[in-house]
Amino acid sequence: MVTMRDDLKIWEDFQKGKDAALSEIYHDHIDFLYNYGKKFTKDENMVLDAIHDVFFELIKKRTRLGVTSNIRLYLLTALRRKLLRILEQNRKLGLVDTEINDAVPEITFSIEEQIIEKEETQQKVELLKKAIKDLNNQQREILYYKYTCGFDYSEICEIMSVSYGTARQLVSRTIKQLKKSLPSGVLAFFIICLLNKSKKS
Amino acid sequence: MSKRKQYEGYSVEDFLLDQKFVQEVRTRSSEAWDEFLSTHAYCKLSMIEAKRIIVLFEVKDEPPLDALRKARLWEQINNYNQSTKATSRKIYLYRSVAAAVMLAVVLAAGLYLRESRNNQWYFESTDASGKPELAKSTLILSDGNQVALENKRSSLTVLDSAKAIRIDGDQIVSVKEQERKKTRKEELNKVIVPYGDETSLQLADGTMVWLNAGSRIAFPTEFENTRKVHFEGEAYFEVAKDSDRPFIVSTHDIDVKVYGTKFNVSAYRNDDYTEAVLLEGSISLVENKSVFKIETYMAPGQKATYARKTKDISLEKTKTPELYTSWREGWYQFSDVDLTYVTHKLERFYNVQFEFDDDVISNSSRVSGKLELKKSLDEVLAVLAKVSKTKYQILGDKVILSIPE
Repeated sequence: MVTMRDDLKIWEDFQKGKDAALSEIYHDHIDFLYNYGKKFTKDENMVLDAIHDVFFELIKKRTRLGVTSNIRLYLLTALRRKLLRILEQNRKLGLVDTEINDAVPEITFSIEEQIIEKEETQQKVELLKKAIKDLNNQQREILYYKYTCGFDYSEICEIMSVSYGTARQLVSRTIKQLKKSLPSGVLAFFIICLLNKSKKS
Repeated sequence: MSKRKQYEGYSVEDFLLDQKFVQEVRTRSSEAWDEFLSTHAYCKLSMIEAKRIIVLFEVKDEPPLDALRKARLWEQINNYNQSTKATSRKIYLYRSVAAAVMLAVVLAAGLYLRESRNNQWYFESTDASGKPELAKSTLILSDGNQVALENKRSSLTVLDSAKAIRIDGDQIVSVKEQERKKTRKEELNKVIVPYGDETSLQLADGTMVWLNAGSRIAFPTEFENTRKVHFEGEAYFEVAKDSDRPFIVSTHDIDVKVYGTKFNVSAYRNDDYTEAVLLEGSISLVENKSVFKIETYMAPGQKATYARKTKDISLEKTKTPELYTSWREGWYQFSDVDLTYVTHKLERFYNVQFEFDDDVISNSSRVSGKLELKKSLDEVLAVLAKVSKTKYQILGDKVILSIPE
């Protein structure tokens, strides 16, 4: 990533206690974190509380933190852990609808809401929409990290705290499932690309 | 591999596997994307196809986080951050106060002489350009002590009960009440924010004030029968409710009377207007030098502009009042304003001076759009020059604008 060296430097400055670095970290990532957090819950306050706690812990443990060359990934992982814990606690207390039993982000890809004008394209898109809709939350989550955020497998492992093998297996199972529900043509080609991509990386 | 043909022989599939390319697609604006395409015209079709596929995995963004909540959360985080460093900084404060006392006494005397003349604007004594001359944001206490604020963005809290002011969650400065009866009534504390800085301030009644670059405010440690502050520059206020005592922001030309509310005031002396935008609640404006103290009431979502030349207050409805407080988040949004409106704001934020002839103004386009102030001056000027159809040159802390040939 282009920002890698900057991130190392900003992180180091933050650990040394420079105020500008903390400000930069907050203002550079707050919108992303909020947007990401909102995928776990509609409750805006819960997301903000979780972000609040992530930053407080960051400050508290400042000198004991390891180095990171990808601050966004670091924050995302911490926020995910925090939100999952809160959601789990709420479920134990019976504060949450029972229908949400998978405490993973509910990601909606834009294609699912997109209005396509050309009829021919529309048919294909409809099929893809349906295929994506049939994925479970965990599958959506991993596609989101892989193709929407552009993270590689090692990063995905860190975020979802799964092993390398599990992550790869999950992606390839997901792709297979998508492939099964889609016809030939452009979309099949698209799936092949995804398959190859996941094999190579 | 030559830079020009780095994608020679790439298929759509190759593009999808190229992490760098995927990044390009996701981060480039549509303009930049067109440019990118034209520099790699030899594989344009494959690129377009690849982009179409990547875009399938875009995710709908949530409505963005409310600017106010974002600022509040930052305030909490920053305060906590400062509090973890409290011990090491207290000693420093003690020394800086001691060193600043002499200077402050001289300054206070100067102010006293000029302010004793009747009916004068509170900050009249300062340089007429309105540019605060200090290098750092500074708190000047009512007893004359002067404290330099070390951060570019500090936050101050008036601790009413303790008669003290807290700086960034740790340093505490006590405000002495000695000689209270002997001195004039208006013995106020001041905060001066130079160009390039910002400061937030919580007053004794809980009112929050966010001060933009190049502003100054004078306020008491404790409000008595009235709640009045003197103010110049630009600030966003969240006034605590108190129906018995309206809150008054006294600026150079107008007084803003407030009844528990959120609003933005822009009253720089080097602008030829004073502007107030009301987000919540109700406020009224009074021209403070006029004999007939007529109050102009504002409704939420309205913007009032006082033109110094015509001495007229005009009201207009704004659909997006929150845009006027976006400077707190590090960006400005302009809609059809002339070039000087923008350059004045940039002068304050980046602490530079613009120079251009009148014909540059008449030949430039009016400006609409968003400027990210977190970016470097050079980047911001490049955008501004493009939009306004001018050319710029940076010479030290001067920016020269000209008409392109």
